[in-house]
Amino acid sequence: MKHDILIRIVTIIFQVFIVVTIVFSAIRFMPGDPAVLVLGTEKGADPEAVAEMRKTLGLDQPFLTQYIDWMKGAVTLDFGQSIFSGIDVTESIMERLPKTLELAFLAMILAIIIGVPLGIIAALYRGSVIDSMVSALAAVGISFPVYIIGTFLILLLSFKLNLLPASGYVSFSENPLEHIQRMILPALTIAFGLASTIARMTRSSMLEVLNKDFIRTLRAKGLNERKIIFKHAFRNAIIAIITIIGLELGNLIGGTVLIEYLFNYPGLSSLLIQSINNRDYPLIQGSIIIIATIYILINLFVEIIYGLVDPRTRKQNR
Amino acid sequence: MIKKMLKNKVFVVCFLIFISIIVLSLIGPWIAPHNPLEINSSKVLQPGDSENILGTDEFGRDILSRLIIGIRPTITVALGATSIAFVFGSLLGMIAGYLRSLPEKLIMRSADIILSFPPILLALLVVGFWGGGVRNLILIIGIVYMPYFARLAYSSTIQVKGLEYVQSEILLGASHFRVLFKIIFPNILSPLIIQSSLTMAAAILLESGLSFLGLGIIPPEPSWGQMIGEARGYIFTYPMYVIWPSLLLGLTILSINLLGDSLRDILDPKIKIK
Repeated sequence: MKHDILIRIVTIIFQVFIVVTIVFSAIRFMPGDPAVLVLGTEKGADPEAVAEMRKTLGLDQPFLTQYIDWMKGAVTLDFGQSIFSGIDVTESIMERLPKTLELAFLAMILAIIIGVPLGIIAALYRGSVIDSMVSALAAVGISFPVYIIGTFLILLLSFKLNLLPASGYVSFSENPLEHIQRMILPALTIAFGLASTIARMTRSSMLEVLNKDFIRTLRAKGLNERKIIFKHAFRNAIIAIITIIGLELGNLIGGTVLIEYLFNYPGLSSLLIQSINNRDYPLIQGSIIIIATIYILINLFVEIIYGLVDPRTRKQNR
Repeated sequence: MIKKMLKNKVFVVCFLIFISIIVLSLIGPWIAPHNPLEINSSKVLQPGDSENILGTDEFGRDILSRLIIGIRPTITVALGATSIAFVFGSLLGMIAGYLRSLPEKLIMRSADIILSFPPILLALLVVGFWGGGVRNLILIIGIVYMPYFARLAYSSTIQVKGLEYVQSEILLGASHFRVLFKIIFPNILSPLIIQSSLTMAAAILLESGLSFLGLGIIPPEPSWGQMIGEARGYIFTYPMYVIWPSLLLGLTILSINLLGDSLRDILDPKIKIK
């Protein structure tokens, strides 16, 4: 087990390294010269000024020199400065990242609170009206894009019922109540789709467990139904649920892009879109690497938890 | 098989919806009541009347016509990207599973690398630099979903290759080409078809998402995702403008997803036994 995890960690480091290298080289082969963009349309037409700017930005160096210089910094989490604002890349990422993580985890908790009980109820009353309603709702939640669900929630909760503000962000220290008020709508939007996936998975894995022989034995020996469901059935179904939660958590980190845009939420993804529009190389590299690393780490984490919860998978890994 | 398909009501309904969407995307220009690009500044954000049934957008363009014309780029991207992912992904996966050793390592590790980016970020990065448009979207979305087909084809190929009749065919001296395409491919087709319908839905989701951000289909050519993105600004002044494309897009993806689910019920006998 320990040996397995060690191998995984080495693989992960290698994987991150490759992702970093690809992002670094891909960006440099893509069209659009940042030097021209920094100077603006007027000055950018002057080749001398552009050459000067490229020199200050270090873009005149050979590709390999740029790569090695950048790598040296990246190892110590120093991704250089934004070529537009001059602000430290690590600093701007550290300012945005907690906001995205807060949103993602809030959404995930909401989704688990909504999804798991709905899935269990649907499985227990299989074929009933409740079951079909949960299934229909889940199908909508999985298919409809997040920004459509978000739009409908805005129309319902802030336009029709006037309950919540439609967009924006207020920091917790500034005004705790408003902070939470503005978080609810985006978090609920993400949670709707997530809860659908979780409910579906909970339902199907509960059904699978409930059909097993040992449950029939427990029923036959007269154990009360509540104990059977929560102590025995749910405990067996939870492996599949954890896996799906982990996988979705990974997607969530990237999926917040659309939500942050819809709700004008100042997270890491909106920083990335903004930096792509500006051709801000250091900022793009920094944010993509952080996002991809988190994505890879979450996947690793899920695999490890999977091994801990379900002893059967340990042997298969060998 | 066809009998089984006709018996499955969800399949029939979703298949009909799917076909009608494709037909609409083909005949759209002939049935749209107005020119979707025609600007009319005297009639901006008006609710529906006898002339513009679903009303007009912020430039006075007919919403119904834009909805009809907007199907085409979305469907083109979805079909194109899914074809690319299906053909190249399955081919690479089959080669990896059939030859093993070096090609296996090269192909499957490359797939792992693509999979270590969240799909929308990879697409965003490429589209942000190279620009949107139907061709670029087909290419990048096709590449993003290739690994899913490769993994599926890879594991199924390994399974099928171990079966006795395939082994005997190899021992009898059948060429690689014959073994791959005449014997293995028909046997691994069903999961790939199911994956195709899921990928189609995912491709529409991704295309409309990028268009929603203003990075996908290039205006003024309409697409549903882009219409939602534009209508977002008028959500409180004229809500129906955002509701129409949202409903259509959501229902389209829903029907394709359900089509995939019912296909799985029809094609995968293992689930039936459960």
